[in-house]
Amino acid sequence: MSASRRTNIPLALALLISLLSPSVFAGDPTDEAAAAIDEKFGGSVKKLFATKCSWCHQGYGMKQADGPKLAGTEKTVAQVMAQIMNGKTPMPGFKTQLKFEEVQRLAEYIKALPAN
Amino acid sequence: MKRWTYTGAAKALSAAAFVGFASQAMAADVTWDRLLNADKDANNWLMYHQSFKGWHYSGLDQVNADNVKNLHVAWLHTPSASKRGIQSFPLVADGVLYYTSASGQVWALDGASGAVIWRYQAKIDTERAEGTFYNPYNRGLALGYGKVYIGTVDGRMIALDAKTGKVAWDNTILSVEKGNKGFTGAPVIVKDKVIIGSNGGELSGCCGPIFAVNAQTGEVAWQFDTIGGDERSRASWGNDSWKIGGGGGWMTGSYDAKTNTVWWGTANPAPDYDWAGENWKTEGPRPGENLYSSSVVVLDADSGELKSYFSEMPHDAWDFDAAPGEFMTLEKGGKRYMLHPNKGGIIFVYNADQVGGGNQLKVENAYMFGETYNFIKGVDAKTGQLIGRRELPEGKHTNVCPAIDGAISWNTGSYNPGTGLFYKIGQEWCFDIEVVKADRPADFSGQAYFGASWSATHPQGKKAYGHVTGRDPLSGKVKWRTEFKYPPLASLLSTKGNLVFVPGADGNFHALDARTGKELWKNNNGIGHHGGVISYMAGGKQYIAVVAGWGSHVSGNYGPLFGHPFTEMPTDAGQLIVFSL
Repeated sequence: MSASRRTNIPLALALLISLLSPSVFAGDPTDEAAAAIDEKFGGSVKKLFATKCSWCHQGYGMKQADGPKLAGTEKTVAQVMAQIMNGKTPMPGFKTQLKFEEVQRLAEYIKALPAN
Repeated sequence: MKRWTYTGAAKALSAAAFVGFASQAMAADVTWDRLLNADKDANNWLMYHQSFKGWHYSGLDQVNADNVKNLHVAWLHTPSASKRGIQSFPLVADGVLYYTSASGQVWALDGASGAVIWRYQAKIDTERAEGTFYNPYNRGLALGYGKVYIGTVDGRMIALDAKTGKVAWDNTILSVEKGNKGFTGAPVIVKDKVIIGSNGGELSGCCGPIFAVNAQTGEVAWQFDTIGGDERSRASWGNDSWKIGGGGGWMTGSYDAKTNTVWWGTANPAPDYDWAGENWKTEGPRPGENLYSSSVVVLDADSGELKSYFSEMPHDAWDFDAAPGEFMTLEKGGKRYMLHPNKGGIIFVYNADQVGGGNQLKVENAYMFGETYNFIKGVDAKTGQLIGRRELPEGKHTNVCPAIDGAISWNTGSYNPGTGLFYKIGQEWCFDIEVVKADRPADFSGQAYFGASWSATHPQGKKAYGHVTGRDPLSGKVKWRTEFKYPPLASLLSTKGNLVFVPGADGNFHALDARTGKELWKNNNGIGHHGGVISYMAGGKQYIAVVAGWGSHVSGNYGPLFGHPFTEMPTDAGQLIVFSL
């Protein structure tokens, strides 16, 4: 066996391993974003999003629709929280509907969504 | 000798100008008799649905299929508030045109020239109005008794002097204590009362009332709660879920003089989607049929008592309200019918005379007009019962058709007695949805309570599209069909001149031959339409008036589905555009 063939086998094996790695079978990016938030705060931020936000923000925030796509927002967490609480016509404010922690969970989830 | 100074001359001129405008506004009063006979008054458009027949038909033919190619813009009006576009219906009485734009604005214009006679700006309680998604658009007004009536997003009804725009009365009629929200629909005058239905739906309040208000004083004469108002309703909401059930009647119903009844479509229940799936009768957030949500209710015009009802979507699991959709009175073979489109894409044809006793309406026919559907397999033509429900239990579901936006939006079709055809838009797209087990909000809270996340999608194997059909209204048999690349979202108008006007989503305003569906004329109005279109006479000339402006919740799907031109279409602009020969 030549030297080049010997080095190619480990390379091929590495390639095969990378193809089979979990990153290739990466799931829904919204699940990944939500997992970190749920671990930090408890509960299910996606369920909260579906209950309160989905009428205007489709795809758990990943899609432009009536409301803008939220993933990739350049707003800070504090700015997102302020908008959730106070609204901005035509978006209503939710300060009477959500506890502060719920607003925080939503804002951090939105910031965790991948831009692409 | 008295010198005629510049100041004196200016004052005299301004006084003359005021008088001049005022003389244009000195129209004959819109009496109850005129409203009752509005179908015979082709020169005017006195109420939202043109007349209590609900036909959205103009008996004018100065503009017709032979000369419509010469139609051109006569004048335009640009209001100063049009966030979410303009979604309202203009009305005309004796040469004066009235319409609402957004944010509580009302306009009175000279119907021949577009000159502003007066403008009214309601001061909206923004804190209260901001708590609702149904904001800041408005779908129209009512005319009568020398007044203009509007509902507001903060739960008021306001009556304005029709000549001057000054406030006659301004009453808060909708209490927020049970989580009720405001009004976006146009009111309708019925006898001595003004009737309007509240918003609700996916907001977890109670009880989605329909109000009748004394036209002279503004006092509430009666209130019908669309959910939770009687024992039969409460019994159909397990675990007292009527307390968070939404309901409402957010579009404009109609009046049937023969039975002295008000016909009204009601909104969907909250949450929109039910994680219990096929176990909805006993489990889930709202077990039971959820009366009288997603139903037609028939109310005594004088007392508001429920005379009859029909649950078009028993335990509505898809957000397919009965609130959109006109009520069209039709007669054939000595029998009277009431036609009503449901958001899910079904036309229900009811017996208009068999009302009373609190019983269910008799269905004479029911047929699908949506072309892409799998939420049901079909509808029983004899009973109106849904066949083969597709439940959406907790979890992911793909290609559910139609999408939450329905096969129709809130705008209306038209019936033309000359052709005998019913013209109606259908919108064809679907969605992928994940239903969640949403936490129950506090009773009467009025909080957002959807129960799912979704993404609009094209139907499998094809692109989303729309269509306008001309069909027999009672049998549903299609005579012609015209397809549209972008589903139109606006109302239709048909005329004695054999025309059907279709305000398109892409800005094109079309005139089709009412007999064949062939396009005879179009004009690019520069922005999409999702509001009203009417025709009237002023100064011996026929005008066609259409509102243009984009930005409704439903229109938000068009960018993702179609891209250009919708991705760059403004959502805070609009105009009233008026055409003539």
